[in-house]
Amino acid sequence: MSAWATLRSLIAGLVRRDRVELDLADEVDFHLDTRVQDLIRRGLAPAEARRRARLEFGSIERYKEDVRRARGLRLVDELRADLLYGWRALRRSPGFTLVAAVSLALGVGANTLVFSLLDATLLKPLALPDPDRLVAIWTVPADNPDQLNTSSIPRYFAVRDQAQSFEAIGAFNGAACGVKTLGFDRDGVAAERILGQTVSPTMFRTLAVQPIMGRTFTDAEDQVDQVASVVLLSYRSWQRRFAGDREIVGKTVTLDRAPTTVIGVLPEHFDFFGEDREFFAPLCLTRAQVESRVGANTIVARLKPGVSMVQAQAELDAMAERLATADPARHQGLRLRAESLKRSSARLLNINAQPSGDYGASLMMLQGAVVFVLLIACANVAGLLLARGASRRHEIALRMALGAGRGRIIRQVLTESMPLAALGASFGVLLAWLGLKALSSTVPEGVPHLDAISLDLRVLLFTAGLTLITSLLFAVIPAIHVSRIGTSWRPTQATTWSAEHQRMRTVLVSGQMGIALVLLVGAGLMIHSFVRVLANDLGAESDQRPDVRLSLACTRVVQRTGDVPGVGAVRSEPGSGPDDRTRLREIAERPWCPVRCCSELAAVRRAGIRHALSGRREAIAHDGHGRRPAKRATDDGLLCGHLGIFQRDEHPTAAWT
Amino acid sequence: MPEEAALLPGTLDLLILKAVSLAPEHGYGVLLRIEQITGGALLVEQGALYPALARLEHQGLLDAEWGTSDNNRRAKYYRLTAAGRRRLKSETDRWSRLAVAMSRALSAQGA
Repeated sequence: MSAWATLRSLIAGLVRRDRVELDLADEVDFHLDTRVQDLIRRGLAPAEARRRARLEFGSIERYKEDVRRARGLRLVDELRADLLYGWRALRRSPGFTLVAAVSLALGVGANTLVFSLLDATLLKPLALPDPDRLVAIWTVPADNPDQLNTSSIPRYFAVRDQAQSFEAIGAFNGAACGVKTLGFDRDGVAAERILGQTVSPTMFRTLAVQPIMGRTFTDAEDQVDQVASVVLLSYRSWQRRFAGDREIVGKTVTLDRAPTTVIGVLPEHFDFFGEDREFFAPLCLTRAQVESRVGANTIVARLKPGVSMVQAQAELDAMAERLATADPARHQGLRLRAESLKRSSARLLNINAQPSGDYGASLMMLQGAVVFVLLIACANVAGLLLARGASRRHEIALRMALGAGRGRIIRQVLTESMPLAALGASFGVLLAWLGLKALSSTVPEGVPHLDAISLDLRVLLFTAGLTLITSLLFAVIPAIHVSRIGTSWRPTQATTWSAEHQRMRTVLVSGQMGIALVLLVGAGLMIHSFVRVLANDLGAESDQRPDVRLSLACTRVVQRTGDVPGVGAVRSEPGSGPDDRTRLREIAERPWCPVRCCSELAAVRRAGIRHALSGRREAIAHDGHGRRPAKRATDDGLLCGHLGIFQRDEHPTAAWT
Repeated sequence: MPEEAALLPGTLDLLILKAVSLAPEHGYGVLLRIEQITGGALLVEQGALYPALARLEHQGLLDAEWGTSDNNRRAKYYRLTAAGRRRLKSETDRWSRLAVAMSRALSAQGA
């Protein structure tokens, strides 16, 4: 016998259930009619022939039922009947349905929401070739290996030139030279500020990303103090700003008033640095950076095939020792730490910021907490179902008297619970969707890969599985309970049943209390750790006082920052920024002018300037794309920003995005 | 129906397979064929035929197809599949061995 034939027959029966019934009726009719004809031919009167045919056939309905059972359709029919019955019961008692569904919706919704975050940040692999071999290499203080910091350029160079465990090593910088002005105002086209990313020439090789046209940077294009004027365009930028011009490679665009050559276009789905990056430029290293002990460079490396993380870490440990001995001024007291890039990118609240607390671990804890919420919801609904079970004693006793076994009753109650679970889950998904929308509008830069978070198929599958488990969870106790009624139940026995009912409720209520308590404690810890993650713990070290460099246009701000507690000496360092005269002219000509000092800003802020600025009422913020004020410009959740000098006001003020 | 022998369990399936193996038949035809090949000695309650047919079809031993009958009506015709043919052979062998053993045993006692 072939199992395949059986499966096919079952599926055919399920898919064309009404067809099966029609065919069965036809077949029986054909049999009876033909038999009647035969009997008439043998001399019976038509009425008698019909009677005989029916008699010989036996119970039509019984045999039809046997046929259904033989085709394996009976179980399916019963399931369907139970589901329908459950659905009708829900409609009969809208109050119960509403309370139970809302209860479940909260649980399922919270789980779906947190899982979608977890999935996007931790579970989904990075959309890069062979992502398991990608690691981030951080600089950590020797006495606190958990405090991950970005690395200085000398450190990056050392790792790049000496480490043997890696196939390729690259670095990207926290937006130094990452904001540029595209075009000229006086060309008749409004100049626009666009966001880009500076990367080492080796970065794309490390990530194993090939441009769809043109090439990536060469080492010669990233020499200290003489960066070549070349850019790679993101796919989106190429499509949007240059209408997908096939001849774009080799053309010149105006970036920061300087002619810049487009050397390539990156693939459509390359969004590792965020979807808002429109161009990629070389690191634009300055002599000062090359000599500095600190820097905002994130090192990314690709492990050689067969080299384990442990081996790589051992090599980095030895290297850190060596560096500290050879060049104590720049490397003493610092170690190197490798971590999977996936894990690291979950730590980064913003890809260009300092790594913050362990966002991923917090999410996992949050997931644990919301599972408890769901358990409580299940306990609630179980309690409600149990209470409702009291009114079902007649029905259950009748079913059992008619021949339903305990197993059948349990199955019925479990199946009946599914429409309720499905209803709760639908509301839950809706809640999660609303939650995600709210989240993305209030935390524009708070969460890594926020744009990648969505209620996709994986998340919905998770929710479906969760719903099934939920429905079993909340219905199993009422089901077992109700099945104990048996056929012997009489209205007079209501009291004993009630006593048992009471016992069950006590179990449920105490369970609920216990879970709630655990949840409270868990949630408290949870919130505590989240606050720590978001509380701006950027790891400023007292011995690593940032050397803040701002261009001349920022000078007046810098003078103010001198008054800010935590900021040490402020000195003017002419020539370190872009051409000062150009800057000043820009200020004179335009209502506002962006200043490229993002990485410096991060440093300034770490020193405490942010609090001083954000307290000022005239601080105007823009969202990095235009001049719209950003909602939470002065809130704590913002990390790296762009400083704008606003000429509108009498006093130039700084703004944060 | 006192003159008809009651069916042993499992015999109906075998009889159906045998009846259908001779030529594709509709349900009523299978019944007539069984009546004919058993000389009317074995008779089932007619309705019982259909669950058995459905079971055999579900197991992949029979294939069913709608066709037109002699009296010009839509009828469901059953045909033996390759698996059904193998099953018929193995069941026939088993039945023959059993029948030989049984009749030998019973005749030994009866003599």
